[in-house]
Amino acid sequence: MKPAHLLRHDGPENDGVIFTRKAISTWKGAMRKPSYMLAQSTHFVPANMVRFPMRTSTAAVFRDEIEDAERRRQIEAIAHEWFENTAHLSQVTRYSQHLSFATLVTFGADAAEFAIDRLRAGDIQQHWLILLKAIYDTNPTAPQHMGRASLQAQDWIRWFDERRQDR
Amino acid sequence: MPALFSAGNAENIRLTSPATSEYNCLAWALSVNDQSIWPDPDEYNSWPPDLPREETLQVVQAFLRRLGFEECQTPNFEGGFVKIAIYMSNLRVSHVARLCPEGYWESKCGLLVDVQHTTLQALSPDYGIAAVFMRRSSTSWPPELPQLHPGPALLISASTGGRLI
Repeated sequence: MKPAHLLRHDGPENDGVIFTRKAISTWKGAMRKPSYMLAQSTHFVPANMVRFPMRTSTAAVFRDEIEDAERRRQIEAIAHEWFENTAHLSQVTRYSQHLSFATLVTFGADAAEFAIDRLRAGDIQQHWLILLKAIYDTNPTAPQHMGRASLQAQDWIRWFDERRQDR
Repeated sequence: MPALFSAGNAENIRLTSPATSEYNCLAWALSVNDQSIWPDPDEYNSWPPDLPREETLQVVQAFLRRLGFEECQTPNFEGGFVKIAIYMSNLRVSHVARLCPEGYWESKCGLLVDVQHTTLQALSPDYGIAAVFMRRSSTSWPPELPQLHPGPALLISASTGGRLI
């Protein structure tokens, strides 16, 4: 295998490479250096990025991050629409009959993470609890917490964190 | 806020609280402000464990009868009674409002604000129509709530021959 510095401009375009966030941030740091420093350095490309095609555009480099941000923006917009159109309703079952709810469920774990983030931020709404139950098909809230959204939010956050640790 | 209701305007709806999801319309109608009470199938709201979780008139009326309510014919104010209006939409209970002695109605709008409205029609057609009215003596108000969630899980031990421990 060639040393990293020899692979700096080596190799064809490789769109299939998946980069870790650490590798990308390292690369970002390197790119912030003045150009004369880059020219002098033969080791600024980290070893875990040796297959990185340097000719690739910035948009492609950060494609994953851009897609994540775009997905998050979509979820946020749909969730906002869902809440705006249903929060005034007293009939809880109508929340889950709204088209935006069905759309959010299709986002799966990303929508769940968004809901948990909202709960963590203190945005205690039954909408997020209903969405989480639809995605995970479970309700980890304690029976004695029924009707008390703040306590149910804590139950969901705890369950979510434990589940993430187990994985 | 009145914009949420197609028949609402600044004259017939008045906002009386900030938005909160700590209680809902049925709880507010019973002067409860620390929990939400509703027969939702998802079991996020408080509800007596021995009553079905269905948003039907029969179920909601059964719950209110336990609290001392009885059906009445009109929404008009009667001295010595607290009155509740049950809104129906598509044969489902969609909202509950309470009549105050001052003559206006009080509602909690979903997960949002509390409002006072001068007529029941001010929240229609968004909440459907106020179809059923119930009343209860205003003495010993608010009513004492029954148990609204299942009790703690009972443990059954095989070593004790299936007896509860």
